[in-house]
Amino acid sequence: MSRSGFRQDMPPTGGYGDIPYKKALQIPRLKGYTKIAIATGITLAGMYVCTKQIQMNSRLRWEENDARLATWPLVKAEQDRLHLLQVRKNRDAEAELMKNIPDWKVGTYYGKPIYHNAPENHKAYSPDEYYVHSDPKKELRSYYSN
Amino acid sequence: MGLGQPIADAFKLASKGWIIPFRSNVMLYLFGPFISFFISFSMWYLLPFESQVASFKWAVIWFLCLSSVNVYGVIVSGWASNSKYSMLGTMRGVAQVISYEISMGLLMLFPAVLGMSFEVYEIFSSQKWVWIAFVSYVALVSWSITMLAEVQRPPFDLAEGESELVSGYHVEYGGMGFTLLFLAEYGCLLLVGFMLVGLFFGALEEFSVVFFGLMAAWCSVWLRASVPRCRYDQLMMLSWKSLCPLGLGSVVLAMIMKISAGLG
Repeated sequence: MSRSGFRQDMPPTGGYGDIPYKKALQIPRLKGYTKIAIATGITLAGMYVCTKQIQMNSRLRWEENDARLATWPLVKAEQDRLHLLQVRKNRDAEAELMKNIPDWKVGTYYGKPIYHNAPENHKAYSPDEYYVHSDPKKELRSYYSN
Repeated sequence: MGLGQPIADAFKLASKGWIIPFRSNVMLYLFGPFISFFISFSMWYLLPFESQVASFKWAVIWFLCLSSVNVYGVIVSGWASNSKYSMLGTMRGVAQVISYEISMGLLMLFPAVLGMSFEVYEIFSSQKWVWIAFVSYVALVSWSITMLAEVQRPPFDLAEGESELVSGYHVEYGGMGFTLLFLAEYGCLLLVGFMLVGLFFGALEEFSVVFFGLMAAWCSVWLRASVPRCRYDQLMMLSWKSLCPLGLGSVVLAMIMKISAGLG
């Protein structure tokens, strides 16, 4: 009972060929020497620009340092002025606080003057005493506002 | 809606009890993770921010000092656990960190010399025209490899080595101790990422430091998936025979460039 036209599915004569397992896709790749040349070129260019950058940065540092030196006396004078303002404020507050006490000498500590600080009776006071008559919030704001 | 999951995990880890191993050195066992965590997050002090509150002059030296002290966390927590696995992991970790410190110091001198400062903000902002990565990509790659070994991330995580030592120096830790050691490791990793983009790529704005630093840290997680753990002798040979000479060469190169910039 053979049907005409039927064909059994069989391997081709001589068997199947080898499986082409090698990578067929051709990815364009650079050659080794080209890669080395590119890396060396980038590095050399980077070194050249970096030496220029070092020169620029050192010039900027010079300028910054010069500006700092030029403004230093002004900054110190401003610091001294703020110090004197605070000290005067302390003295005024002390005078206001102690005005009812007779023969109280303002600005003395056991008889020694603390605002006329000649070297022998110089008394350095702590930050707590220095800022004792000021508003903490206001001082903090003035500290962080620059 | 898995957003609450990490927070719930953190609460779970923090609320677990401490299991203290038999005959362990209890005080040091409890104290080790805190040393590790504290030192690791003290290093974050050097990162410059816009407010300039926490940027100071010797930041590179601070980084070198603290990363060498950081090994005490590993020593204390590994030794005090009274376990052979953790002791072996500690020995490995200490030898590794100490040998990689030398090349780390030398390679960090390279951007410091070219930026003419030890202050991180100055080094970051000195790269206006060219990134230091373009000056020597060798220094960049060597520094990245060194820092991977320094914070003991794969492929250099010999101190943890899950396949041979169970979990290395933190075998005996669970709950909060494990959390602190874990946070210390990842804190170091993130800081190294931020330092990488700043020192070698001149990232200056907060956004670019954080974004590209996180990308650098993500690359280390990527490396864990793709690179097998290396052998211990290979690790030591890499440090002493490859990275140390490269570091010395980088310092010499930086000196030559500095001198030629002064001459020209």
